[in-house]
Amino acid sequence: MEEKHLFRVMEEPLSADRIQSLVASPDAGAVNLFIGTVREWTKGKRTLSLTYEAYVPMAEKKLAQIGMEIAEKWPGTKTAVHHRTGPLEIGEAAVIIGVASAHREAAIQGSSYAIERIKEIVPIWKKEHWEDGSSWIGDQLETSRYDEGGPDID
Amino acid sequence: MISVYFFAGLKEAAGQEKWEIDREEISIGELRREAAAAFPEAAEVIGRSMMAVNEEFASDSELVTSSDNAAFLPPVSGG
Repeated sequence: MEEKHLFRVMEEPLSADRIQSLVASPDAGAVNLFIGTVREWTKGKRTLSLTYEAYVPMAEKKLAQIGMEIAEKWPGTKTAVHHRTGPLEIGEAAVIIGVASAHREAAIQGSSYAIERIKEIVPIWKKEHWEDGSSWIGDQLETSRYDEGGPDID
Repeated sequence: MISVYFFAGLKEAAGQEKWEIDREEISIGELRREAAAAFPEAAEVIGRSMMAVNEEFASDSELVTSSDNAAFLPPVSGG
């Protein structure tokens, strides 16, 4: 019952308390929470809002895979990840990762690993809305942005 | 008939989220070429997209059949 709540993609606002309670256990001496939020300024360009789109069943499957990878690399850890979809305002949480472990190092390293892997293998995309237009962000390094319907600009 | 789903920038470039190709079986490499020909305005993004079959990443040599769920995934940018 509980396991299916650990890795979710949802339209509703995310809750750090919820993630913490999902990974909490008496064996844990640490819970590391990572919250990815919507940034207003990127390299001098102002973002008004973001829209996230996901291939939901695959995204939840890939988030669960990341949780398994963390459990293999740092045995005894428990991970939960919730990612938001739809329109988000500046400052809102787009993703919350929680990793619980007996000692703090595994929780911190596991969270860091999770966010890097999310940007590699989880089918979720963000569209930036600026004052002068909008564009889907082409990859996790934000270096290969492509304009709507246009040719590659790189 | 094989149904193929498009997402994000690819969905906008192609102007639709679901595309059907009248084949019972096709390699992903060929599916890529057929999609690029059917949606020339989306060909560049198709070239940079990963393919998923039944919600797992798949390589160009793999086969898709009419009972599979296929999707083109443009470079991801979650988090």
